[in-house]
Amino acid sequence: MRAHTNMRLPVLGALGALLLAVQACTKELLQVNDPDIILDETLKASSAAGAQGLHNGAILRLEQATAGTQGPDALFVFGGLLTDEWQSGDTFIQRNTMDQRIWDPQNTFNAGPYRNLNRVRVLSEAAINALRQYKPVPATNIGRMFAFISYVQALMGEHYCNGTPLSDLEGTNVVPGQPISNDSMFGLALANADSAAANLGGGDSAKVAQLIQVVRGRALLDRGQFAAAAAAVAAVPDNFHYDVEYSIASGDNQSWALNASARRYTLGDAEGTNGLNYRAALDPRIPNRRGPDRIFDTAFPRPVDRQGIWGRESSIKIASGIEARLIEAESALKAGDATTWLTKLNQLRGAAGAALLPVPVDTSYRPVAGTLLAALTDPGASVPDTLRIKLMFRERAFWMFGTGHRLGDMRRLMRQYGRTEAQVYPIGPWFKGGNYGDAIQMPVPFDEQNNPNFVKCTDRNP
Amino acid sequence: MISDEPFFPRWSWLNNMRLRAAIGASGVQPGTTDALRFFSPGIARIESADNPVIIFSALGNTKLKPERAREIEIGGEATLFNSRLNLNLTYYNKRTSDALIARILPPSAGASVSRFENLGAVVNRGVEILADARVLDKPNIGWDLSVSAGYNTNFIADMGGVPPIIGTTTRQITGYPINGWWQRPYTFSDTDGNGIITANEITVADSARFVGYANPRWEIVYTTGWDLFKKKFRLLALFDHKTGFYQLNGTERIRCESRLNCRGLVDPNAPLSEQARVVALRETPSRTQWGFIEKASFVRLRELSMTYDLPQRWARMFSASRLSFTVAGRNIWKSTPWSGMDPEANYFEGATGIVSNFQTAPPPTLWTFRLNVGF
Repeated sequence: MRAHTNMRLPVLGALGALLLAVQACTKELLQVNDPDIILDETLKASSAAGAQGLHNGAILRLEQATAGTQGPDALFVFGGLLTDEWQSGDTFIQRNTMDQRIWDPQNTFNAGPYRNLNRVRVLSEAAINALRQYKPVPATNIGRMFAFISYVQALMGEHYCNGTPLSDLEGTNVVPGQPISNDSMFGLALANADSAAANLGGGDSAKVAQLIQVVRGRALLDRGQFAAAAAAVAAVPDNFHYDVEYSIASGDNQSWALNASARRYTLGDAEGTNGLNYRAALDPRIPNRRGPDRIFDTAFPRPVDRQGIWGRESSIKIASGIEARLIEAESALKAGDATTWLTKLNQLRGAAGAALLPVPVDTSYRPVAGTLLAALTDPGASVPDTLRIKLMFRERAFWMFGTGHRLGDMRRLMRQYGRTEAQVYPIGPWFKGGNYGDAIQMPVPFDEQNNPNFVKCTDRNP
Repeated sequence: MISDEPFFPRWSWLNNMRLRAAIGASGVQPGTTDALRFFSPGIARIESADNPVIIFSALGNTKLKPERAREIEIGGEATLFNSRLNLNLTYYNKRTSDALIARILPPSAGASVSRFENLGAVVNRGVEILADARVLDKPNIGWDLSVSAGYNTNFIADMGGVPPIIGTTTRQITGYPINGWWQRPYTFSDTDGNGIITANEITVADSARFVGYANPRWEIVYTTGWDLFKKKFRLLALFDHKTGFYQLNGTERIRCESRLNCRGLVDPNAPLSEQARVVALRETPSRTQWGFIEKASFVRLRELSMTYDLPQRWARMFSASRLSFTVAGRNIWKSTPWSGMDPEANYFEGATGIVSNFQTAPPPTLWTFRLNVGF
């Protein structure tokens, strides 16, 4: 009996090995699915769901590009360092040089925000193609994607030097873009706003339509077409806002993470002579708190100033009815109609605008919730209306703090209102040593030199 | 064994000699997903709820091929002087076609940071020499010496139609080594003679120039051993010598640029060259790191050990046949022109293949005390 078993075992073993060898020749055993990646063919196979996933992916990319990434930091915070909104409380040289207005294309944090803005554009384009093919209804989803492209192009035109390439992807090939001027970038933003407006329909269409109107008004304002900008936003109600949202799962709001949490950014307060007093004003639009702890960089012991607008999961308004009224006010001022200008500004203030003010994230911030803004009085005419322009841009800076508007506004003050760099940007000694540099916009990152069409910025004009 | 052939002359000092030659080929596969264009799942906050999303994750490269290397090796071995000297010499020439390299993608493409591409061809050629000598061999004393040296030349022979790959401090360009250091050079002169270098005393070149190799061209190991006191005491020393390469002194760079506590910045008596590299980095528009890419050559006493055979009677106390005591040290001494803490205080950046020196700890000095018991 035992001898019989001994003979059968090797035979069974050989048969088993043979079966395994045959099985190994089939694709099924060798083909392993990686659950972490989604291939093109899988995405196409999932059709409508895939298209919706790409649409939602573009929303994530927009959240990341605006205020959802750190190290390299997102545009709203990193671009805000170059302005008077934020100061570097950090030891990282990348943040320090940006805060000091050092023109440094090799700053290794430059590529991140520029790449992320383009990721919004490229993924939105992919989503448009997929939505048209697999899920054309509601059309507003397609319109939203065009609006995102328009929005990021306006941001790029405002933040970066002239000569900004937009490359494209064809399969696995990069189609290198040619350098584009800021004005052409605003032109592209307007063209994509037109495409967005032509693709509306469905439950969310009113909100997307208003987003498009504000972005169009913004791009027109950037081009100096004030009356057209005001007309573009006329139908946008005061209480409209289009938000980028954050959560622990999708990513923290970095205006909270880098400032209130990590203390690597500190709220600007009359930075470099020309900066606005975002902290000391104790304005209900920017509730804030000083210290008692210090900024992250222990070599420069100064208390950290925290903003109280946003917490970890707070949304950020990227376009709003507030912006629409401010565009109208500026248009009126430009047309010499100071009465309409002041009316529009005061429309947002006082009890009528109370609902537009942020609610501080907790009771430690000042001013406390419920504090109202007093109505503004006309500082009066001056040549060339310096006081009114100053007030206009202060209102924009406070209402739209930390939302990627300030750098474009500072450049406009030079480009459209004849101010000099020394009148607009932080100047003089920088608080960690040395003097402020001469950067008035962000450079196209050094990594872009891997685009054969790009050498460097065409110019650094405002 | 050529020395055994009838035509080979018979020399008393040559014990034997062997010649050899080899040709071989090998390959390196790209990663399993390196060629694929793919998307990844994620989560976005939309209308106050977390929603599943798909984002473009990797550009891929459908043209990606395995890296293939073909190598020719020619060499020989010889034993001389009554087997007291062994020599080993090898010449190799390796041509790697379709070398895999992570290419930085232009950010305007809105894609991944980099992807793998095949370079046309990379050449590695060099010589390896091993000399092993028993210099002194007497009943009371002995001395042996070994030198193992390797010299390497590495360069990109052909980019295969791929444009130069431009990094902040490194580049991949035909005719130059892989991951070679590139930076804009500068000259300086203390024109006002005040001992302080300022930005207007520095002239920075318009474009980046090749600085040097990122990996050692010469790697030499010297080993020597002494047997003393009737060969009861053995002293062994091993020296590592690496030269012909540069490294970015990232630790010093960040101290000068951000921490603001490096000597070149805070000490007015610092050498002019040290001041100049700080000023070039901090105060010129180029922000050049040229002065921080330093020669990283070094000689290091890698190991030193002393072993003493203890008396037999001591061994017998442990019922052992042999007893010895060893004191060994590792990384005990070094000589280097490197201005930082240690040229070996570095880490290997897997994604780029570049060795970096940035706030990393040097290899520690270790001492070992060991009692060896043989039964």
